Order: sequence, then C-alpha cells, then structure tokens
Amino acid sequence: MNDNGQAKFINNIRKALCVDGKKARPDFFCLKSDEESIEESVLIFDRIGNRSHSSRLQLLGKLIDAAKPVNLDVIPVKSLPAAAQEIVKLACEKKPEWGDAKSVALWKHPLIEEMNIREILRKHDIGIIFSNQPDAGKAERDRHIKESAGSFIGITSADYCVAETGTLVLKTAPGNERIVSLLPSIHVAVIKLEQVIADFKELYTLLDKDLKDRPEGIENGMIFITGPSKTADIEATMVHGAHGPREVYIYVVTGD
Amino acid sequence: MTRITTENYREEAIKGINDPVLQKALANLQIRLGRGAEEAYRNLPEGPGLRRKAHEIRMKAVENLDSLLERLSEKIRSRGGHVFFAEDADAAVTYCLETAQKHNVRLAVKGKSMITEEIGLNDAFAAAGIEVAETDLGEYIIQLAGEHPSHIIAPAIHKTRSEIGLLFSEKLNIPYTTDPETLTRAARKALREKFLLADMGISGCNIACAETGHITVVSNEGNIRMSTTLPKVHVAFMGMERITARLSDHDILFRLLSRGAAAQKMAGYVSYIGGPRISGQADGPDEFHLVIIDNGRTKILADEEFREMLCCIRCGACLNMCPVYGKIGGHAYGYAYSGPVGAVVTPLLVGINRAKDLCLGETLCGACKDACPVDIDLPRMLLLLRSKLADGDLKWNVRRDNTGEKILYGIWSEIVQRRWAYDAMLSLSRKGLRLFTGKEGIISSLPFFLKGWTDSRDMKPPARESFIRQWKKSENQRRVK
Repeated sequence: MNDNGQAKFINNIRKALCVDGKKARPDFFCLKSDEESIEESVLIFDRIGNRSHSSRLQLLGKLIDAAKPVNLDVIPVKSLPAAAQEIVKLACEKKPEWGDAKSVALWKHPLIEEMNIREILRKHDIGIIFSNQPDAGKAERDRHIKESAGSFIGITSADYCVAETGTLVLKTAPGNERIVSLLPSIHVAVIKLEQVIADFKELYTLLDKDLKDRPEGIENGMIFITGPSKTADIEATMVHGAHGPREVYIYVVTGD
Repeated sequence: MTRITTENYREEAIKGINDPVLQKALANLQIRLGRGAEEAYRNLPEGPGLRRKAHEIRMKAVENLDSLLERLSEKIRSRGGHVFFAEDADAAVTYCLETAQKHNVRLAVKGKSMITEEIGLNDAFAAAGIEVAETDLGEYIIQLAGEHPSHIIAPAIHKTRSEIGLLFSEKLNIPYTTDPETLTRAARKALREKFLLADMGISGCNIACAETGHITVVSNEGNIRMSTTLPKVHVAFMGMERITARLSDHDILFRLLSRGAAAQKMAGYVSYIGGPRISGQADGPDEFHLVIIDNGRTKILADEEFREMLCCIRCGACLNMCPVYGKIGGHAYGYAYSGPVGAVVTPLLVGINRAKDLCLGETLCGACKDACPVDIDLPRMLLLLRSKLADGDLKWNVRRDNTGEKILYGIWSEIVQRRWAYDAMLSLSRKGLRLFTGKEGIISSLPFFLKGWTDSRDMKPPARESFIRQWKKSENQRRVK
C-alpha cells in the first residue's frame, strides 16, 4: 500500500525517541484534560455567558483602544439599519482602487441579509458581487474571483472579535468566502456586541467548545484578521495595503 | 539542492561589518524589533514566564511527534487532502515538482517559507522551467535583485529605498521613486496579476494542530492568504517538528510568536487550513498537499542534548537581539537560517565541521535565550557544539577541529594542577612579556600566535612581582612593625 512514506518516516521518529512501536503508549488524544483546565474553562464560559451589557460595552471600549495602533477602525452603531447606512456612506465616499466602476462583494450571511444593504447599494448604482451558485463549476468560480478582485469593498460578518488585540475571527463556510475579506481594497465587518470577547484565552475556550458541539466547527478553515494588510519591508517604513485590504472597518451593533 | 556557503563565514562577516548601509539597517532593526519584543514580553498579562510554559508545550509535542503527525495526516486525508512524508530535501522537491508537472503549472506563487529555502525549491522549479514568484514584499525585492534573504522575517533589510526604487523602475517599468508607499503599490499591482494567474500556491507552515488536523500560516501582508486561497493547487511544506497537540496550545504560542517575531500583540493574518475546497465553497484550492519534511531532523530528535532545538518556531526573535548578527548580518551564516538559531541548527543539519564558524562566532552572551519566545537554551547548545569541535564526536561524526589548541590546553591542564609549575610559568611569562614593553611603557606587539591579541589592542606590561608575592611582603612588613 502506498502510504507516501508515512510508515517508514514515523518509524524513524519512534526510533529517535526510543519508543517501541509495539509497546502501546497511551494514546495522546485519549488522555483526559486535567481537572484544573476543565474547571478553568467552566469559569471562562460562565464569565462570557453572564457578561452584563455594561461590561460588554467596556470590552467594546478596550477593542476601540486596541484597534488604534493597528490602524483599524471600530465603529459602534445602534442597529443593523444604522450600520447599513454608515456602510453605504463609506461606499459613496471612497474611490475604487482599480478602474472607475464601484462594486461591493458580500457574504451570504444572516446578519448581512438582515441589513438589507444590497437594495440600498443598488440604488446608489453600486454593483453587488456574491456567490449564489453553491456548486459552481471552475469557470464560474474563476469569474467570481476575478470580479471580487475588482471590487473595492468586501462586507463580511465574523464569528468572534477579540478585544485585547482587535482580531476578527472568521470561520470559512459555504457562502462565507475567504476572498471577500482579502481581495477588496476595503474590508468591512459587521458584528453584534455579544461577539466581542476579551482575549485569546476566551477565544480558544470557545473554539474548543465548538469542536465538541459542532464537529464541523473549524473543519473547513478559519482566519484571524488583525487590522489592514501591512508591510515594513522597505527600510522598515510601515505601509498599509501590501496585498490584502488597505483599510478595515468593524461595525459593532450595540442594540441600545 | 540549495546553496550552502557556511565556509565563507569570515569573508562574508567582514563584508557585512564594512557595509555602512547594512550597519545602519541592522541597528535600526534591533532597536525596533529586539527592544520591542522585550517590552512586549514584559507586558504579557502572565508575565515573561509564559515563555517557559510555551517551552513545555513545544517539548511535549516534540516528544510525541509520532502520534501527532499520524493524527494530523489522518485528519487531512479524511478531508481529501494529500500528505507526503519526505525524508530529505530531494524527496520533498521532487514530489512538489511532479505535482506541478501533473497540473501543467507554469506559474507558482509562494509565501515566505524558511523550509523551502532549506530544501532549495526555487532553484529546482527554475531548472524545470516553472516560474516561482515570491510574494512577500521583502522576498520579492530579493528575488528581483537575484539575491538571498538576510533575515528570517525582514529578508530585504540590507537594501535601501533608492536601491529598491532603481530595481523597480528597471524591472517593473515604473518611474523612479524612493517613496515606500508608491513602491509597495507597484509591487501590489504586479503581484496581484500573478496571484490571479498562478496555477499553484506554495506555503510553509507555522504551527500545525494535530487535534483538529490543520496547518496554520501567518503573515502581515496577506500574501500567504492569497497564495493559499486563489490557485487551484496548494502545496504546503512543514518541518516535521512544527506541530502542537491541542488547539488551545495556540493561544500561548501565537501570542508569543507575534511578540517575538515583530513585537506585535497579534500578527496581521493567521489562517487555519485543513484541506482543499469543499463542495459549495466558491474559493479555495481544488487540491491540497502537505509535505512533511525530515531532512536531518530525526538525528536532532535522537540526541536528547539537542532535542530542545526542535521547539524552535522560526520567528527570528534571537536575530533581533544577537550582538553578532547585529554586526555581521544574515548572509555570513551561509544557509537558510541566520543568527543564533542558524548557529545551532545549520551545523546540525549540514555538518558540524562544515559549519563550525557559525557556532564559534557567537559570543555566548545569552541574549538569544532571553529573546526566545519558547525559551530555548541556545547558548547551552552553542557551547555543546564547541565542545564537540574541541574533542571530536563519533555520533555526530565530528573531527577534532584544532589539534594545536587541544595540545595547548592539555599542557595548561597539567600545569595548573601543580603549584610549582604554575608559579614557574607565571614568573617566566611575566619576565618574557616585559621584554616586549615598548616606548611608552606599553606592550603593543607580540610575536607568533600571540600577535592575535595585540593586533587590535595594547596592554600594560605585567607587574615585576606577582600579587601574592607583594601581599606576602606587605604582610611581613606589617608584622615587623
């Protein structure tokens, strides 16, 4: 059987580690997590679950502070329609990077559907790009990628947003393409206040739970985005917009 | 195979020291990133001690490498990805080249990856007539200039903006400019065309996760996201040790990696990739290949004294603190890895005798250990390599490097064990040295091998009598009084 060299390779490692392949070692992944860490995750869940509205707003304040040094804009809005209004305003103000025509790429996501932003953008003569064909062929996908590359704004939601660093966490799923947060010149993310979490400890505790609750959780990939694309490769001078978006805006719907 | 020029350490180091542009760039880099990382560690909520925790996580992974790699490959295969285990560089390069040829690849886009430098992937593709475009801005500049990277995360620090301006005006047909923003825009435009055209994307892997079966790639520019999302085939390369057991291990590791590499709280982009595009998805590669590479690593794994080196996550933090790297730059190290990490890893990978100057050139000051996000004891291993060079070593096939030195230390050891011999030697050398006292009562040149000492410094002649003799004399006088 062709195992692409695996058996021999793994055997070399076992020899180097002086572990006998036949003598069974406890399976690394069957080992129970130690009680201390289970207790800790229970505490973290409680903390996230019972967070009051005012402490969530405090987290939002932390997020806004963390966003500044990475050139990220975090904008609190009261409601989804208010977010839509702000985004349309942004789309009208900003100039496209490539060519003259304005087009916006979108995720197919409940939060974005609810904003009803497509209609408003169309009224302003702004083109809409989204993937509507779940099992599109190669040619169709290529066309979609090319169109997205020409768009100047990409609108996504996110699964979480880490206040400590200003990091958006986006799980990949059909309809939630990776290119929408990558190819357009400006990335706009719309999230609810409840999705703002304190730090990476909270994030990985939540992701661990996702693994248990929904095995497909991060199966399909996941991306962390902290601010706009940047480089300091020419004489250590910071420039934004190396390959990815030049600007990133997060609209946080606070609901009050 | 990639070019190994570790033998030219001295010449390249002298070149580096005499290059004023490089000196300025290195000083700037070490202040910005080296001190920045130090401060970032201090500002960790858990304190700098978190680095020890990270070390334990990495070590546990290394000690269970067999089961972790089995789990990773099983998970990736279950999603339709391909996993290939390559024992050496040739096997890895051949696999990737065959995959490219199978898909009639004409253009591949590549994210910065140290392991592909190690295995010499670009040269092999060039020989096969397939273009590989480096997409990290620094790497792109280096590739256009036909040079080699000189720093793990800032590969083009040795180039000035006017050099880059000239290079871009010539190769990209843009008007000459020295404005970093305009130059970055030009590269953005040129490379975007390549991203959209490329048939294959090539990446490394920062830290894989065995539990969930993902590799991760980290960048600030977004080029690695492009390379792993747009082309129809994605080939990822990873050194076999770049894995951790649990997803939650990444909490500590990514926070420390970002701080160590670029003094950031979190890197710009982190992507988890576990296989090819699934049905219903509008983007992502149709094929995903993971190439897991040994290339000399099991030998390091087998030696418990060097095993710790496999905890390394190639962040470059030690380069940003090292006083030697800070003067000689990256090219002297003659291989993919420079700085303190290179001074340990390169001898272990290419031969300790062959790369001896790398570990002999470091100062053992310990700055690299303090800079390391996973708290690797690099000075200990540098010293160990030196002892192998001094005594020879069968397991690592090391020849004794300097027999003269060995004999001299043998004689020295015999002398210091005998009081009378030691006293005689001291008195003799005192008298001998005084003979070379020059005009102003200073010794400024010594003969034979002692010349090395006075080439760059003057010394005072030793006192007529030793301290012990003087002490005894004064004691006697005091008693008489």
